[in-house]
Amino acid sequence: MNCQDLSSILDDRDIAGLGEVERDEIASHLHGCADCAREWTAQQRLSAAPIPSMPAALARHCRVLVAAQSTAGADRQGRRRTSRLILIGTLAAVAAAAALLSTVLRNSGPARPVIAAATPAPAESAPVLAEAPAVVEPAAPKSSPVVPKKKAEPLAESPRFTVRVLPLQDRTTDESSSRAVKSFYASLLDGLRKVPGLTLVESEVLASEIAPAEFHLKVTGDGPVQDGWSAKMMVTASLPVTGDTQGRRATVPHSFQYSSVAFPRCTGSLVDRPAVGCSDPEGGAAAQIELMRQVVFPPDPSLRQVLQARLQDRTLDPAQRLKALQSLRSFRAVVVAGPTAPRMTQERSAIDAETLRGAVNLALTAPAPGIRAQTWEALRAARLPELIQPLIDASRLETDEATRLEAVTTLARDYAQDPKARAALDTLSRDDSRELVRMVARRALAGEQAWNDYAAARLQDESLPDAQRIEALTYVAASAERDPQLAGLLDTRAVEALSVIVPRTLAQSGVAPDAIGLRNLVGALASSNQPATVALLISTLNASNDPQIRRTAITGLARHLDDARAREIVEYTAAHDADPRLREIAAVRQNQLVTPPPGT
Amino acid sequence: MRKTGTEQFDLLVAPHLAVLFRVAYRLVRNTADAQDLVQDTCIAACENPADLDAARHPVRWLLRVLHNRFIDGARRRKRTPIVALEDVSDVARIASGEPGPEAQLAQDESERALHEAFLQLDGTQRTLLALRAEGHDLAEIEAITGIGREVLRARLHRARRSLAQHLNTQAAPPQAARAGSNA
Repeated sequence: MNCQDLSSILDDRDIAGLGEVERDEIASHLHGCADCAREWTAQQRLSAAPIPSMPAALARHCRVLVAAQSTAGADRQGRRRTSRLILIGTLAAVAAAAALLSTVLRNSGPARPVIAAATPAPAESAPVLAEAPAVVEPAAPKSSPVVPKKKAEPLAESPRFTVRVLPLQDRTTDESSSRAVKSFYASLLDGLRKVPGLTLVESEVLASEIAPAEFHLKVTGDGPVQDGWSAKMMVTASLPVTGDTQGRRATVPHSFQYSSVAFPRCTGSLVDRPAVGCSDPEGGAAAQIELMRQVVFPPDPSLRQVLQARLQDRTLDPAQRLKALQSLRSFRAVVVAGPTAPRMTQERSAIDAETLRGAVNLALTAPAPGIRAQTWEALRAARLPELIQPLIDASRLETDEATRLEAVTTLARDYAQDPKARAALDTLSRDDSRELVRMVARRALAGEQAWNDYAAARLQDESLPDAQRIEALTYVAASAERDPQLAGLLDTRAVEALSVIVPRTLAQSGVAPDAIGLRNLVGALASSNQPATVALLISTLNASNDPQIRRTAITGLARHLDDARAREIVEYTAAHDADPRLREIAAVRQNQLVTPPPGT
Repeated sequence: MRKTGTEQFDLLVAPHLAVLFRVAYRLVRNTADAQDLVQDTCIAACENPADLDAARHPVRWLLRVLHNRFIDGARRRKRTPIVALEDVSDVARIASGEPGPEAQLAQDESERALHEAFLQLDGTQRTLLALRAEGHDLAEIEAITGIGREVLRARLHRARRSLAQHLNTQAAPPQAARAGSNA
């Protein structure tokens, strides 16, 4: 057999139907021809790549689209599109005029705190239906007061943008989930219509390209899921590529998930916080809209003003003020030009003097230490000189250890080059009562090697309680920069020690809902490839009752199916585990990785 | 009597939707875009009822429509300066309620490498390999794409070689030995 023969087989033959002699000839040729072996492998891998089953609703959607399309012939269709555009343009004009009139009327009456911008629909790009909203006030969560009366200034104008939304993809299989999902979808659309500056366009099909200032939204409902229902939202946006000389844009998907089951987080938020009434479709939709406004939709100065007012309102519950601060500092996706291709990153919104004042007040006065700690965390990466002294004060005077740790972390991370901060860190590295705080301060002064040595030494010190042995690692695991740092720390010895400590910790004390560090540490261990990794993951799976940690462990084990122990437990889990989601993960992973490619 | 649009859909298109979806998914490598492509294909197909009726093999004809829609879409994307990202998982991760570590591990490295390599091919190369991966032989691919036999052979070979090169650039996959020895 030569290369041409092999190419012919790859082009035209049913590989599964090859006879034994031919297979031997192929194997022999591939053994001696690296180029053919690579091509053979490439094609086999492609054939074996998993393909999801067709979404159940696709046939129905296609049928609806065809029905709509076939009501008009090609010519009539063109005429209709023209008249539709005219109609939309007229609607938009009417809406704009109504809004203008309404604004004038409002301005002529007593002063009101809110004047929203009219949002005429962009007629040239509305494919099916454009709803030009009337003048609306900015949506504010029910539980929070609006702007205090003494600050009754007109809000800044909101940016204008369009959200195109597809019909609900309802994949629910029972009536109650279906009702809830439909109610969620309706509330979501109602809420979006009330967002200042937002024009909602309901569309049967989304364009393959996204214009600037335009967003595409798809909502999929599932249920029952873990005795509840869930809604997944995919918002796709077109973002400019920062630093790109050709002015290119990138299409960026953002996924949101709302679950009626309050585990692990029912908001689907990037900020770990529980939502009020999270199993309520209406409340859930409102929370998702708020989140979209913070992380995806164009920054809205009017929303910022409302949040700032909430943060500064000392009559409010500190938890609500913290939530406002976290919303003001939410992460946004940013696309930056890279050496080969654009790269996605995330940036926290910048902080201004007004926000800073409110935040420092909250950090110093909130009675609950947890609120104070989270406030110092929310001020990370602000890099404002005005923050240095409050941070130094908190680092010295705060009595709650966890809060002090957050303050010192922010000081060390953002201000280690400042002479005053450096002097304070030097004192802290010697005098603080808690070793971890001292080491965090020392890390900023002495560098990463000293920190890594400390973390490794603590882990191997068998005279310490388990919690103290893994304290430095869970601290790193809870940080945003965990991946590269943990990769350097989880060597053979570390994983070996952790294979004893982690299952023991999970079995003895379980996992607190906010134990982000421990969860992330298990995640990093599941990705590790050390001799003790498999044993660690098996013990973790057996020791933990926490569904998220067990799912992480089984996913990690599925990466080691060449190990008989891992294979056995994945098979067993797929067949017998009580958690249906875990069974599903094990079954899918097992199937993907074990089944040989068809035709081989 | 001439069939209505939905009748034609039910009779000639609906039975092949699963095939269309599989090929579409292979081409675009994500469910949402695959659904869009299939929907586009259905609309385009039913806009030409006479051709659809006359097709001897409706599935081949539909795949041809799908191929054309895909190539047209790829051309449009090429004209407009929209670029692919190195990795979009971060944002999905920060904005999602899904567990972070599980999500990080959910996509097998090997699959991701294949995904990235495949998306570096041009539209026609992707179509040829996708159809072949679906088990279509040369005669069927010729009928679907309208590319003559000899040119088709050469293009298939080039597509396979390109895919192998992109995969090889990323790192030699462990499956190479397995697939080779199994054959």
